[in-house]
Amino acid sequence: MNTKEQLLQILHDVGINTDLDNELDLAEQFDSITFLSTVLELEAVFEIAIPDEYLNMQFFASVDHTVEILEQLMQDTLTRR
Amino acid sequence: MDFITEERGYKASRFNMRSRDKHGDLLLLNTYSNKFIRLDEEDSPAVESLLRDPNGALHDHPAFQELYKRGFIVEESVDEFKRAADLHHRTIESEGHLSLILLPNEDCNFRCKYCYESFAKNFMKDWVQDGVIRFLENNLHKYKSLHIAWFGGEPLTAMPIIERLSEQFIKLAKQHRIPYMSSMTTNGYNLTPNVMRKLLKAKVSYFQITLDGVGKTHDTTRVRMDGASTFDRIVRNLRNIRDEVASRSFRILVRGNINRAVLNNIDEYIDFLTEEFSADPRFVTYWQPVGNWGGEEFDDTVLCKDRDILEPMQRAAESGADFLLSNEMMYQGGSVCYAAKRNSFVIGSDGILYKCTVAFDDERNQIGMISEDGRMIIDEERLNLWVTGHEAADSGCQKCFFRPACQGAACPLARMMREGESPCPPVKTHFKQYLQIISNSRLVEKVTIGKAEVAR
Repeated sequence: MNTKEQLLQILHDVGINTDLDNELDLAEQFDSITFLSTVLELEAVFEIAIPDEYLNMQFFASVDHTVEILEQLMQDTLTRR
Repeated sequence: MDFITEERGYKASRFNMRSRDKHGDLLLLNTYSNKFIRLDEEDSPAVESLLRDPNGALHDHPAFQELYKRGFIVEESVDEFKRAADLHHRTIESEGHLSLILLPNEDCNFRCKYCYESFAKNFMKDWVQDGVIRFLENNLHKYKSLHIAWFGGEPLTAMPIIERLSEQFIKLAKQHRIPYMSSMTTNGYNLTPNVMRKLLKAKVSYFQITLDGVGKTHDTTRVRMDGASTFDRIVRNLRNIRDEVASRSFRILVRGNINRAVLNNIDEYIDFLTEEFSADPRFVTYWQPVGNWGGEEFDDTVLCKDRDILEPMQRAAESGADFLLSNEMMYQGGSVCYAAKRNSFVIGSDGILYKCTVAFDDERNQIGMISEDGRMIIDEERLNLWVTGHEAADSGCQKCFFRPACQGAACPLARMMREGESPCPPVKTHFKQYLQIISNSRLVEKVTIGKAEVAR
């Protein structure tokens, strides 16, 4: 699975609907428990640490936005190793 | 039918709390809207006047608008008593959120002098673990989220049980498409960075660890089973986690049980907390004055009162200690005890169901059993002792500005023990001082209202 497919699976598993007419509605679905649960799963699956500046609902502004950040963080992690 | 009518007037919310910081800035917090703001000293006369008489103010003035949109001013027609009653109902019914506090080992590697636990039991039986999994298999479809709290004894003496159960819980939560989160109360002795990484994979992200002051005080109260000291190793673990664990998604609450000896050395403790943790937002602080919690080796001369710790807390906050929890305790439901919630259960290592983690030996707290096939057999009369009453049975609570935060349910056990006396939490009793302590909280919002005249 590519990054986007993995993200969609993780969001599906915590009950987030990604089949949206307006993708801006994505972040609206998160409460604090869903947010934390999702972030921990993303960190475990992609072996990254999500920095403080992304630890807010804007991280999930859209699926493509989240994918872009995840791929950048994976790249940063690889560079540091 | 058009339900929208022109509003005839406004009033200050009955759930406003007000104080000033040491610079004279006005601090306003509303326990229903969860808003906490700071206003410059020079703006505060206008704001206070506005709160006294909202109808005498210009409603398009920035001050009115800022207070109105944050719930410090509400429409005259709003029945705040009904709002609070509805909130209480939703809080106690837990709105579909299931919370289980599990005791994977009721024995502990410490023997803290004030501890109330008897250590008569140990590891969670296999059949109890199976019973918990089956209960979730059969019932998780009823819930919107699952929270597991690991408690003890000392949970980190039972890592294999935690890992085994966590794997199952995470799998079940995914199957039911609900979020899962987990927390742990641990003494921190075994919490090395490697254990921390394993726990993060098991979705444990919130930790409470107690340090009773610096080494010379901590090591007199929180000792190993063999009497050896524990401070250096716990602090080494915390430093290593701070420096080596990359994740920013966990929070460690460093709890200080403040007794007389800690209080006598409080400046050293403040310096220690500032130096070690104030620069890292993953670490927050909470102080609790030591009361008589029922430990056999209890010495009354060490007792502290709530008011004894307020001034040192203020100094600690000014030095950078983050008392975020005290802020959160002032928001909707923030001071409601888990034991008051219908969907919150403590499951002992031998399958006994409790409501409260303090009074394990109290029969009123032993509300039932979990069976191997995953049924919770509950004594409804005992359960109701914990989940009913609260603010509904207390006219003082109903009128209180702090009602949305604690709902008369800050400590159902204390209410039972004191035969109905309101168990007001310290953040309410000393709210003016607590507002000052949290005045630099990450949750406070700076609001500017401009210079225009506010009165009509």
